[in-house]
Amino acid sequence: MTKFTIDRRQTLLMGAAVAMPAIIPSRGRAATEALKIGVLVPMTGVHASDGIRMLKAHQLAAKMINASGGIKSLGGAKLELVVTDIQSKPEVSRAEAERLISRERVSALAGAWASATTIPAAQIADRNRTPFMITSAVNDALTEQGMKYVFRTAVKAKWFGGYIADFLDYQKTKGIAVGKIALATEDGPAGQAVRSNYTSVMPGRGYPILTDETFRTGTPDFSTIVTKLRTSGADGVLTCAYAEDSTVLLRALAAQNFRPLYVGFGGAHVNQTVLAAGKPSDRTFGVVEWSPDLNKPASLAFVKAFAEAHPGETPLSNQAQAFVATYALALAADAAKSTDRNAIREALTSLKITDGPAAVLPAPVLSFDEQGQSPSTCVIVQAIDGKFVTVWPEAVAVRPPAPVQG
Amino acid sequence: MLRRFLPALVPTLLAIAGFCFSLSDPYFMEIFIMVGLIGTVAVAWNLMAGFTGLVSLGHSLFFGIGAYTVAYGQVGFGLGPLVTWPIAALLALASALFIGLLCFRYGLRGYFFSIATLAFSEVAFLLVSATLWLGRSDGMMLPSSPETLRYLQFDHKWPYGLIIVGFLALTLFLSQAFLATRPGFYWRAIRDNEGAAEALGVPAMRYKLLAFGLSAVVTAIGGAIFANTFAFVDPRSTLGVELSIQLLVFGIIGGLGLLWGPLLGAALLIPAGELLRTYLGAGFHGVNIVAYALLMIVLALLLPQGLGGVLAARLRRRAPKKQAAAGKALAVEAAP
Amino acid sequence: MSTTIFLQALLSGLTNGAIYALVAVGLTLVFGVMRIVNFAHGEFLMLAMYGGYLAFTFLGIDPILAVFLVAPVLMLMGYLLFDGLIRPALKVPEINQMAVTLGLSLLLQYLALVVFKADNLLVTQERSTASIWLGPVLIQMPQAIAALASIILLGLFYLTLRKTDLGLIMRVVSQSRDGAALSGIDISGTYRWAMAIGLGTLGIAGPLMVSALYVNPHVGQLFTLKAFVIVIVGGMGSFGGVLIGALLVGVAESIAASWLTASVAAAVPFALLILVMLLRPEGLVPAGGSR
Repeated sequence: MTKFTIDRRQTLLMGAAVAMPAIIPSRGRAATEALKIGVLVPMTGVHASDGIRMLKAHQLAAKMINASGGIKSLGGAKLELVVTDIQSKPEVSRAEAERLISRERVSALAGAWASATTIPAAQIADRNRTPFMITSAVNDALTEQGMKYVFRTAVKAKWFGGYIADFLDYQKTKGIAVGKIALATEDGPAGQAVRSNYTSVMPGRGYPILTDETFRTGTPDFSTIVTKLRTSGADGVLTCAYAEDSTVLLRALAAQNFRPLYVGFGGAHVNQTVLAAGKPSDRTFGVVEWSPDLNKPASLAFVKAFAEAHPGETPLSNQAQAFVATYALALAADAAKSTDRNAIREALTSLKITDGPAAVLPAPVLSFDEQGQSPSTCVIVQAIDGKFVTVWPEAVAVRPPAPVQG
Repeated sequence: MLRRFLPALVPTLLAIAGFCFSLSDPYFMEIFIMVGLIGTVAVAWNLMAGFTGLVSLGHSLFFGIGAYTVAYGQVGFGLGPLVTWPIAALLALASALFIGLLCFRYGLRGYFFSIATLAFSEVAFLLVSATLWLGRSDGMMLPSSPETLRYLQFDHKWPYGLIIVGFLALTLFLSQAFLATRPGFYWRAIRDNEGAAEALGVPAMRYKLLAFGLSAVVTAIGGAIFANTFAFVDPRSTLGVELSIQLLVFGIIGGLGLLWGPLLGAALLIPAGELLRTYLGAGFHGVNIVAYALLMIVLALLLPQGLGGVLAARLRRRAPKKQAAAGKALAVEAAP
Repeated sequence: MSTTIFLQALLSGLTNGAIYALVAVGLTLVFGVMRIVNFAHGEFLMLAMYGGYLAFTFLGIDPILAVFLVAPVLMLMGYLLFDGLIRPALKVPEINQMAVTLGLSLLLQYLALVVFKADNLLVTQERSTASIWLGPVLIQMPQAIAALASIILLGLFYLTLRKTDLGLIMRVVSQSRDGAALSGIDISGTYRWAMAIGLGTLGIAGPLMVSALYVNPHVGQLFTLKAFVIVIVGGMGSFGGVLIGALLVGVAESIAASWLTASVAAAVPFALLILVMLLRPEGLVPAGGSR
């Protein structure tokens, strides 16, 4: 019988597990104290592609900060990122936040992609009095529930409807009138936050909503939804969908020869995958927090640095946010002259970034109000000839919007 | 007496030791909490799977009932655990009896029972994801309150760890006691041969429902503790099929024939997952889960009785004459 | 709901149903013959979808022709999978088998993540946005092609099982393993073929589906549970049942989605499954009855 060998093997496994706590290194503090920032990104699971992208931007920021002499007020201390994979799961995000705070002793945290993975991690950070810089989550409540240590470079979900209405008003002055709106949103947290915002804002701004469709991510066929959008009589379609669903939806629109004014949402629309769908994505708009062609010096410098670090790649909106989030934490530590969590928090509340390498986002000033929210804004981009181009607001636009019927 | 309770006593003592060790570091406490909580729920799941032969793939339903009862009770009515936990237990019991009655009446067995329970939990998952007052797929945050004890809100992790030690101990001791009673033996008779058991006059339906109900109640309490500990519930982590599958995996790796088998599975795999993530996660995303999956396949194929089964057999063989009885007690359920 | 929308929902439901049948038919073969639940079924579909994508992108092969390249590869995978994993798994309890195939599902998803990265990949052709109009309603071309392939495949299956020795053997084995063994049938060989053909069907589904959808490492998950629902609703191991179950699931889901919110509609197939299991546990078209 092989029983004995099995026992041996199994004993070894047991032994390894029992010894586990002893061999987790408590990576002690470096001799010259670095500024440690924990980065929570999903590198596996459903949001893996987004998380891996975000990480590149965090790392680029760290590289640039260190190359330009580190944190000056701390004697040129290096910025050290402690990166962790949150597996696209809320409970993992939470546990990892706890670990980075208590074991890695990070001075601040940045992350954690989606709202569902950000909320629990932000709560942990707030409870442990550690600054948490939200990179991309748009859930309104995050900066409305009085958490003292939570800051956000991203916009709130409830601001998007306003941007779109402003844009449609602008289009009207150019003689391109859109009167009636149809919605198609995915049935998850992001889609529903955006949907409730659109339904509450748009009618009040003179854009009635004729039909309001939802779908689950992974829907294999959008024919019925597109038929409903088409037969509703709407001439504007606002969506919120993950990139893969967007491609299927856009192809279904094209298959029915329905070419409304289409505004997709955020980095999930302004994305290589959507462009890869080819003609169906041409001339569609996207409302997004940042765009690589943005007419702003720091932004152009960021794109250039990114292309040097990752040849052939153009950063997306959420990567700019991740870049700025990392920079903002480093600048706060510099202003605080400390790696202490409370000192960094204090410095963040009085931070005001108007120029320099961190002034990448479209809003003129990056600062944080008493709720930790920055006065961020959005741009409207349009897919023209296989590229997303900033077309609104005029101050940062590269060119005026092209007519929808291409 | 003491010997009979060794399978409950030893894991409880180890859990207390683990708790004390985890006091040193909130991160260890977080891991301890997950091991204790999911491990205990897996023990409850195994009362059905390992002892009655009913493999549920829908246990997240009961966990979710517990978690959402606590969350909605507090958000909607300001109720604390004193009220919400019993309600959660009752709701879980009622749904288990309902599902059980339907399934057993029509004689669903084996894979069919598993997939039917999975279908029920998926329906619940999707409906909660669509229900506005349950927070849809966003989930619900439990508001923080200064009334620490009434809402079980502590600034530190360790009180939750302590609650979970109690939950674990209670579940183990009560289950061990119950398995030694007549219904406990009926369960195993049903598992081994339902037809034969019925022929001998065991009302199989009644005892299968009993197993389902008890298991669901413990699972719901686990879900309730989860909601209070993490102050956040969302459909994916509390009602998703991933949780049900986790229970199955812990059971198989730890050993289905043993009361404490699934707990062992959780105690090995959760920290192993953490270790793999810490060491492999950041550099090679995905490689950690590849390793985890390989481990799972190899163990399921090579050690059908689980690591716990091997351990129990070894203890029994090692046990000198005077301790033979104790060893026997440890291995009393390792029969098949 | 207007008539147009209802008709469109019905037609889309039927098309989707046919595509689901294409995915489920291999599962029912494996399930029916070997009584093993393969939770990794969707992951093999995912691999076949990558196969179609790679053939199109790097070799310029049209997805319809790529079927003839990918299907043999998937058959070979099925053949090897049987000896590598399924044969040993048949010796352990049912519940361990579940753990093995669940582990395999995780393994393949994350291996794909390591190899292909997490990005969504598309096959874009002229016909990606073409469509066939039937009065006021339409079918998109890639979906229509996949649905047509599904019907052809099911027809071939029916003929194979009715008219060939291999079909006879498989039917015998699925009805009684011991009886078949006693009459001198090579059980292992039959199982191996069942697994090879079962995964081979995914080699047909993959390239056709990637041109209608997209591929990423987790895309298979979208279909595994649905395929289970269909197999049980239809009647385990019954090919007529797969088609009826798939069409029923497709139509129910599509019509529900046209007047309920998406999550509630997504629960409809599971509700259907529960109903069928309770009222007709042998499935709508039991394997024995599909003469």
